[in-house]
Amino acid sequence: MTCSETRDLLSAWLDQALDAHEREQVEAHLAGCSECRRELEGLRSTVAVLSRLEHPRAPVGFVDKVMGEIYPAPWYRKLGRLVFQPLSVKLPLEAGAMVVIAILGVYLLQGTPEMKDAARPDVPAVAPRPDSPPVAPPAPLPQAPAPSPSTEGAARLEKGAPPAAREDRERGNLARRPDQAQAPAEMNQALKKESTVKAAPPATEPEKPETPAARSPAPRALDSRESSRDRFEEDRKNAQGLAPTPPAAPAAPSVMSAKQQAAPMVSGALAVKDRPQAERDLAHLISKTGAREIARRQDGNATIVDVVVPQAGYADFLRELGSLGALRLDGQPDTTAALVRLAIRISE
Amino acid sequence: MREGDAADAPDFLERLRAGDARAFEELVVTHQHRVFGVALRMLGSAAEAEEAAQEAFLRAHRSLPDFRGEAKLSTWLYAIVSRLCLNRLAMGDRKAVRHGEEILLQVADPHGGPDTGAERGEMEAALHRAIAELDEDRRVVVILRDLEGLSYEEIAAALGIELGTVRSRLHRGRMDLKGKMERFLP
Repeated sequence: MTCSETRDLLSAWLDQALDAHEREQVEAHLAGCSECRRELEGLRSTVAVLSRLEHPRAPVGFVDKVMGEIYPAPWYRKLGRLVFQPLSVKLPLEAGAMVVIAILGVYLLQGTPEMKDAARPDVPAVAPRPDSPPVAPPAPLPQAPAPSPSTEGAARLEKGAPPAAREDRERGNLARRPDQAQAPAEMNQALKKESTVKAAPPATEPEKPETPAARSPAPRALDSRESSRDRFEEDRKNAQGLAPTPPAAPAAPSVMSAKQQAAPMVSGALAVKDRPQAERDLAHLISKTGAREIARRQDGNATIVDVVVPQAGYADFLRELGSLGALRLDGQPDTTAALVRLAIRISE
Repeated sequence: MREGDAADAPDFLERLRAGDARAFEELVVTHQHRVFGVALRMLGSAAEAEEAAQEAFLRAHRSLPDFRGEAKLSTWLYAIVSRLCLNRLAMGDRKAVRHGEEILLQVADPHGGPDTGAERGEMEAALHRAIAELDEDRRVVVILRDLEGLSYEEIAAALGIELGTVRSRLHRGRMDLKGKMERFLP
C-alpha cells in the first residue's frame, strides 16, 4: 500500500470504519512510514479539536415559535399570554408606561388655565395693610404697603405678572368686560373656590321657584374658570338688580331670592351724604380690614362696589361700613366660606 | 448516547404519529439545539439558521405520518435539516454568509469571557472560519460526523449518498481543516 492510498484511509482508520483487511494494511504501512504516522497524528489532533467545539444553542423562544407555527394558539391563549407576561417583561413595560403617563399628566395640567393661575405669583390688586391676616390658605391675600384702587392694582398686576400669566389673561379675557379684565387672577381663583363651597343655598333662605337664569348648584360646583367668570358677571348683574333703589325696592327681595339661590351673595345699600367722600372712606376701609375690591361701576347716581371680605373680618367690616352712612343689608353670608362677597351700592 | 435517542420509544413515536402536540413539543425541545447547530454551521447566519431549523421541524411534522421508525428520530431530523441547508446553499438568491464565523463564535461560546484564553479563542475562530470555508458537501459530512457524532452509515442514509462517498468526503474535509489549522496543532 502506498503512502497516498494509506492516507486516504487514515480518517476511516481513526473512526474504526475500515474492514479487517484494510485495517491490517494501513497499520502495516504506518509501522514503517514516519511521514504517514505524522499525517495520522495531525489528523487525530484536528478531529480532537473539532470534537471540543461547543454546540450552539437555539435562540430563546425557538420552541414557542415552532409550536406556534404548527398549532396556532386560540385567541384566549394569546390574550392570556398578553395579560400574564412574565414580570421581567411586564414590569419594565409598566414602569415605562407610568413614567410616560406621569409626564403627560404634568404637561397637560401645566397647560390648563387653572394650573397657570395656581402657579402665578400673588400680586395684590388692592393691597391690604402689611399686618392684614391671611384670608384663605389656598389663595392667600397678598400684602403690599400702600392701598390703591382696583384699576391701578390691576394695571400693576399686568406689569408685574409673568409673561405667561399675562398671555393667558389676554387669551382668556378677550370676551370679558374691562372691569372684569381688571379683576386679579388670584381673586378669581378665590371666588371660584368660594362659589364652589357656596353652591348650596343658605338654609335660612326660603325656597323660591327657579327662574331661567338660576342654575342648579351641582353643575356649578364643577364649573370651569370661564363659567366661574360667567357667574361673577351674573352675580354683579344680580347685585345691580338687587340694589335697593327706591322705586325698585319692593320687587327686589323676590328677584334676589331667586338669584341668591343660584349664587349666594350679600348686597348692601349705603346711603351717604357725600358719595365721593364715602367712596374714599370705603377704599380706606377695604385696605384696613384686609378686604379686596374686585369691581366698581357707576349706576346712575350710585356707585356699586363689589368687595370680597375675609370671613374673619366681616363683622368689623360691616360695623365700619355702617359708620359711613345708612347701611341696609340683604342676604346672609355663608359662614363656611373663607371669603364673603359683598356688593355695596353707594348712593346719596 | 445522544440526548434524542431516549425519545425513540415506540409509545412516543405512536403519540407523534397520532398528532399529539405535547409529544411534538417534546421532540422540538429535545432536538432544537442540534438541529439549529447544524443549520448555523452550514449557513453561517443565526437568523437564517433559525429559519431553516424552524422549517426543518415544520417539514418533520408534516412527514411524521410517513416516518416508519427505521432510523432514529435524531438521524431523521439531521437528514431533514442537512438537506434543507444544502438546498438553500445551492440556491443562488440566498443571502450567503460564507464568512459568518463571528456569528458562529458568538453562538458557540456564549460564556466566553475574560477567563477564556486568547489562544483558545483564536484557535476556535480559525476553526470556525475553516469549517465555513469547506466545500458544502464536505462540510455537512464533517459536521454530522465530528460535531454531531453520526456514524458513517447514518450520514450516508441522511444525505442519501454511498458509504464510500461519506468516507472520502469526510477524509478530504478533515485534511482541508488540518491544513488550515496546522499552526494550532501540536
